[in-house]
Amino acid sequence: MSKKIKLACIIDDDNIYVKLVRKIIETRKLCDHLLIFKDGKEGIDYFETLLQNFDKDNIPEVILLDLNMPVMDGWEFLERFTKIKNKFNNQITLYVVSSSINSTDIDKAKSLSSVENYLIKPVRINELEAVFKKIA
Amino acid sequence: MTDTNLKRHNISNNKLEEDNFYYRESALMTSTGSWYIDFENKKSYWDDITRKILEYPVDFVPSLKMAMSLYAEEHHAYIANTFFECALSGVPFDSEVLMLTANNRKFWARAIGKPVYNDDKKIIGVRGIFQDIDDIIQKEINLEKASEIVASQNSRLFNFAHIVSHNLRSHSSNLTLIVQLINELDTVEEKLELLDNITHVSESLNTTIEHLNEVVSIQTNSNQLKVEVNFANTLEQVTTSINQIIENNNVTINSDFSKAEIIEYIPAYLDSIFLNLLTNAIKYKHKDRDPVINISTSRDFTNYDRVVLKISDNGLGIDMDKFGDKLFGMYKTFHYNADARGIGLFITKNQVESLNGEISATSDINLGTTFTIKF
Repeated sequence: MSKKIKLACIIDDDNIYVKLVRKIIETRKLCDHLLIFKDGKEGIDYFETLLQNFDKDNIPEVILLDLNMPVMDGWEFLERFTKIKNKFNNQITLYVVSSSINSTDIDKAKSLSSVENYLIKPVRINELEAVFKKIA
Repeated sequence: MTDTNLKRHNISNNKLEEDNFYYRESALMTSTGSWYIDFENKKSYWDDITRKILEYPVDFVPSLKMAMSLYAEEHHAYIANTFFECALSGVPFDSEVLMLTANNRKFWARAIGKPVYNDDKKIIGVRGIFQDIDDIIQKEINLEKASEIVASQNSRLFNFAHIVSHNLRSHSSNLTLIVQLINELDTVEEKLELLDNITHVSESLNTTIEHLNEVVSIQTNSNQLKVEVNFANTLEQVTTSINQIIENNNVTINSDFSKAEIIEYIPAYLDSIFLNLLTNAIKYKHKDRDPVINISTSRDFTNYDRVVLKISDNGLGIDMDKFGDKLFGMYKTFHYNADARGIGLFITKNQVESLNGEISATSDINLGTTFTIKF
């Protein structure tokens, strides 16, 4: 009955946060594999390359995207990701996960078609589990 | 003359004298002088108070030719226009202008004028007053300055509050996450493993608070005493302190401070500005060439008293379209440099602005970056 996500992706520059979410995912067995990118540039490079060498198994089902990152922030990632998202056959659900409680950020993110929802850090373990279960 | 006539004459004479006395008193007390420009006879007339306000001798006879010399140069065009409108089209005026006294002292005056018509409705002159309102305008200017300072302090405070909430939130949310996980995990070993993360979070939290303290101290230090600082000496001090980095990277530094050699400033801030901008230029050097840094001073072309410092490099450059508005933000880094902390330019900006200066940057990718500071 309970399906499980195979591949999830985190784009975040905060090492400790990434480590903790990884631990939660392992403990609750929320997915099999995890892709981690430390900023938007690394993330978008992965997805743009993936389009060239299309491999269904390498497409994550969920992306947890931070906003404030060096080199390329979450907004720029979203701008470029939105252009190619449909080519992945709507398999990818993207959540923005940020510590920003600025309502401008929240409204802007939620208004984007490629963003499923906005989660405010710290995420609660149950909230995270609900996200993964909903997609699976 | 009959008795009654004499009496009447005396009364009207007294009345005239009395009126004159009051007009003169009110003109003196309000520093208001009258004038008249007679187009038919090509002459101008001033009363005593106009001469007094404009610092001309009591027996001075004004001429039409000198009219423009009564006004500060920056208002010549405006005054010419205003007088023409009045003389040709009969438009009265009431404006605040900068005037020049005989001693070349600038002061603010209110100039009111209206056309004078003859019986044929033809304009034959302009009559009006000058009122010395320098005190009032100076107060207004000071008030405006004070309000600008308050507004800029307020916006920096607001910005600071935003930074505090944002940067502390990321640490506190990690702590919350750790606590959640500790409750979630079953074995003691796993719980203990998480303690290590708390060490990391508390270290980063401390660093953030240190940085915030640094920013706060800039705001309070800005009342520190400014002294005369020499650009060349400051540059030498800073380059000596980072001599090793300069040699290791084969850096060439050219400087020209001939246009402005000294400035009234807080010495520690100028040190820090030089240090931050120089180390930045070296840190983000182009891999294909040795760093060349050009430093020069000049004076702002609209305000000679304002010293401008330019520091340009031939480094990596930065995409200003993308990062321009974030360049001076806290914890913003733009290159893959391991030692980029995103604090230097933020501190520099705060130091410059706390002393009412401005900093800006222009850049071309792969060509270099120029920082301009208006002190």
